[in-house]
Amino acid sequence: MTVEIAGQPAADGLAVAVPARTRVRQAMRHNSLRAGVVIVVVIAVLVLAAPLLTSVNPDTQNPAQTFLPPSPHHLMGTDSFGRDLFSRVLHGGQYTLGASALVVLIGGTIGTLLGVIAGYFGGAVGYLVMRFVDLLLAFPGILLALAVAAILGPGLLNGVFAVAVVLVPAYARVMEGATVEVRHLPYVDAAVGLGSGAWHVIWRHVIPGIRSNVIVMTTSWLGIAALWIAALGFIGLGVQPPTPEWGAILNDGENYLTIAWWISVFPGIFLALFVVGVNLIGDGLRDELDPALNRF
Amino acid sequence: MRFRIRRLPAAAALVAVTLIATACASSTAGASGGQASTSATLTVGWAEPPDTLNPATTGARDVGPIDVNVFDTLVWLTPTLKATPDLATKWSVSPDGKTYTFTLRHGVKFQDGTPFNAQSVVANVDYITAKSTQSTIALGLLGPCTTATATSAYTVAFHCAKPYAPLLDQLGEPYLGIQSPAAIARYGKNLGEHLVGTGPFKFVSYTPNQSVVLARNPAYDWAPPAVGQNGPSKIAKIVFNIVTNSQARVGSLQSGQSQLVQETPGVYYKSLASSYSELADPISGMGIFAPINASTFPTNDLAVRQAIMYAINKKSVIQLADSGVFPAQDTPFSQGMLGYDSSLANMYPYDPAKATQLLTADGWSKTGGTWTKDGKKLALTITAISTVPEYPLIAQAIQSSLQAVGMQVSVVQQAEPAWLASNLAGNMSLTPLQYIGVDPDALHLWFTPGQYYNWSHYTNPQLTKLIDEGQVTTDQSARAKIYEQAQQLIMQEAVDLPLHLNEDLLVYSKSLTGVTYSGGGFEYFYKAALS
Amino acid sequence: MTRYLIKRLAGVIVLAFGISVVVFLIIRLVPGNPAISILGTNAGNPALVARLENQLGLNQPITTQYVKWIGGVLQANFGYSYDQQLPVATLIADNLGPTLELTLFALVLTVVFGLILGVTAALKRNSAYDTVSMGTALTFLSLPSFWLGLVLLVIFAVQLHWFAVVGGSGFKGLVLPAVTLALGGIGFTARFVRSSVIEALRQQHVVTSRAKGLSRSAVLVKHVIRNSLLPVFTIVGLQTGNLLSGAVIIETVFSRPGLGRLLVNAILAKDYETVQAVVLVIALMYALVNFVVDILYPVLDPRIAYR
Repeated sequence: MTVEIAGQPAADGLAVAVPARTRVRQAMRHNSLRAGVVIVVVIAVLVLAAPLLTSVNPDTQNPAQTFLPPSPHHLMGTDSFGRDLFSRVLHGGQYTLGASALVVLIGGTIGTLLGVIAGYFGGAVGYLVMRFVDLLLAFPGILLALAVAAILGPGLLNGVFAVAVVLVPAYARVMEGATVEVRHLPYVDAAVGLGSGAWHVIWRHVIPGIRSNVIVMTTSWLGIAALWIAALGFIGLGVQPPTPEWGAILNDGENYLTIAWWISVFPGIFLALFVVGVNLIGDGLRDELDPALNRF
Repeated sequence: MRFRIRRLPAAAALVAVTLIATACASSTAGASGGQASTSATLTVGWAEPPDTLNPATTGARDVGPIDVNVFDTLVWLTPTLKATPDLATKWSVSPDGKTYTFTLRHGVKFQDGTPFNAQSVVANVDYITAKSTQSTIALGLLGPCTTATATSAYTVAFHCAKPYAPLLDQLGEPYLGIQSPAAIARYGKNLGEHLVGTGPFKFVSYTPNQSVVLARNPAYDWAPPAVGQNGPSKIAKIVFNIVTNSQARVGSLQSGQSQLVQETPGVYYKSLASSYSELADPISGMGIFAPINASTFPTNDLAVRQAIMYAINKKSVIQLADSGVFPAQDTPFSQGMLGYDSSLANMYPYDPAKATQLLTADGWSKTGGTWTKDGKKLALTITAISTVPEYPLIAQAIQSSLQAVGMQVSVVQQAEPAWLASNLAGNMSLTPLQYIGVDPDALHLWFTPGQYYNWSHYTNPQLTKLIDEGQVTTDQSARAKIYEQAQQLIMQEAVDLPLHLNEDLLVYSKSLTGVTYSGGGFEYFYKAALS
Repeated sequence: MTRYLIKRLAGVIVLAFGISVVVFLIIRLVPGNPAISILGTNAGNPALVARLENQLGLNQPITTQYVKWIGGVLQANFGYSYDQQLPVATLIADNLGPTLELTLFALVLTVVFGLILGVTAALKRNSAYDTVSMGTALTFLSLPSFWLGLVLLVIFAVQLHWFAVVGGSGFKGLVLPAVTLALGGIGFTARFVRSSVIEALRQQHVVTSRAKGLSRSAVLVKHVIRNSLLPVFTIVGLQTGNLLSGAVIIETVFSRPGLGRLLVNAILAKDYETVQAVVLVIALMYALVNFVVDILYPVLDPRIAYR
């Protein structure tokens, strides 16, 4: 499920002047942003506080307690190994959320850098970088991730790299467009004219100028990254058992839907909620950061 | 045989035998009751997509049951692994054990009209052994007997480079099903899409990843006497729908779309027992087992290997991985194989205290809950094929058994090519898998030097000698003795961890009767009837 | 126009060449030796392994292997799948139809329902209807499709018997997989269309038309819908890639034949020639759809010139 954000021109170089706290407060007036933040924060707190919320080891098997339905004792029931799903889902969130954050961090950073370099320098460098980006974009995303995951072998970190590879061209494409726009803004031209070095201009002016694009891209891709990490876990190319990553738990429950729906329904709900939350934040931020589309 | 072969389900072997008896009896009953429809279509939910349907080149277990319905073999292997007449009416072995001569049945015709005779058999052997044929299982089953000659129109002789006792039984596996020489000549590499045999069903169509369709062979009049039925099949058409997802497979049975499903997960096999007929089809060979790598630390240490054998609670492993439906297996060979030795079953009872004692005596000590020796941790790696649902489950269950006694265990799921590569390189401590065969010579592949499947990475001249002797000994009881000794050695050295019986759990509609299998566990629908 | 067409077509060809190189290299990096996988029990014999590697051309320099392969492809010879033991062309022919059927049906569902949901939400923006429909769209977008597919399968096929559990034949077998595949796209399209319609409504000429006294529905048809159709074309281009990606998982969940399932199995089995050909076909389909979309853009909107 790719969401591709059309390249948006950096809206406001001037916005940098507004104090951050005021902007946050303004932003939080936005309904979907508020809802998104609440959802994501609640999930994140539940997941991070997992060791406090349950004392059950997520990997402890119990042959006498397999396939138990949800009950006060096992809030989300148990799986085929008799493991407590409440504990697995909460602990597992750390892997899913952590991995998706890492995907965005790695893929986003590399992609942004490539895009900025191509956009700023243009010429042969820009041409080569962008043709390479086109090439990667020609592969439907999940196929690229699958192939890379197959090369690297299973494992959470490998899964992270595989998905991050898909983000690189997506970021590069958008950031290149944004950089070209910013590069020709009067104050950037002025900085160049005053003899500032390229990297200095990029660091001081271009990156701040494309900041809102980066933020919007990141919120859209964070949700996709979570879904793809889970999809790799589902195909068996993600984490190694018994790691309770959400996709892997969904995979565990896949074959038991008619007799033990709870194994895959709870992680499924958590995963979907997280993605909804992240997307709501993205919507809110897009509206806030791109006033042209706002208040209509 | 390859491992694309997936998981298999269970019940005690004894129960299975009873069920078979019932199945056979009821099929007759169904027929005489006159309720069986002669225009019925049997729809089967099949688990594994075929690599190819060509018996000579397939490497998959799940192709065997499709082929056994299309092709006849020279001998018919009964469910109890006895070679009985089929396309060959009688046979003899030369005194030196190197030549097998078969007298063939007259009046048999291939489904394309080609008459069956000694030349057909020769053409098949030539095809299997040809350099351009991508043959795996079939070529292996022929062993050193790679040439056949027609000594008359209806007698054929197999010539072996050295005496080879397993040949007779192995000729009864569907991978050596006799194909029409006309089809071989005509279709070449595409033979897998044009099956032509002499069996009770003829091939209609194969849509990769979707379905295989067979139809009754109306001319069929030469069923093996041991099968106890004659004439064309009662079922008019069989559709094998390829449904890899087991939830969907079971769902197709419950919704009435399929009348039979295979590879049923244990938990469903248990829960469906009251409303459906069930059959735990025993697949002969070495069961579900795990070779233990004797060449890499820490399993290069005999005490560690033996401690593993004692520390694994098989009952709990089977409960966790398969809802307890499979009977445990405690010997290298499954019951029914020549050389099966029940006395070995008590060698390694579940005894964690004994495991601790062995490790301590060997100089291991526990620090921080994990065994260490000379500063090195007892850390094991279990590899498992990611695409076969059961193996990662078994690996996780073993992992928890071993962790309970203080061993560190990591599970590594791999796709098949990577899994093969790491087993071959010895980058694992143990790996759960299955091996299917009808002859005890299987040990040759698993425990002699230089063999691809020597994933125990273990060699022992005494063991090699025994296995070599077994291959050339024709006297059955002498042969059994040899394999008993070989298994004794394998178990003492703890290079094979037997886990559970290999069974294909079939669940089917009560309107379906007469489901049975040929020796080795290949589902056979010739006697099946739908009412 | 002709010059533009030629230029764009040349771009597609260069891209196809690039894709062929990348996929050729990628599949060779997957661990494992295909010769050993093929030989199975006989792989213990190094001579046999060497013979097969020779047959498969695996021991030749990689450039020679590539030239040999691409030369074959140019003559419509896609090679032979050692894993399925069939010519790759046969495999593609058998699997292309079901995938096209699935993605086309899903594409239609995506565009139709995405449009309806998006336009109506935009017209009633900031109402309860808007909130609910956009909430629904967002939920669709956020559900893991592999999981959703099984849930739908169990509910509608196993429990309710409305659809077949197994098999891709006929319309009835197509509904569940296509709906599962389309949901994410519907969510995306609805959101996209909603903002384009809002944007269009804000345009000067629409405001003017309304001021001139044209009825609301007339304005809607004349300006708004027409202007929002453009983004729909963009979506068709974008969604084709997503639907093809999604098909990989949906085909597996629903036991349907198709290019996606063929490809996943081939990657896992390291079946070189199948992977190479299927990826090439999928990427080319994707490139061609976007090519057609690009060509149609200026036709629909004279303001956009061919560059």
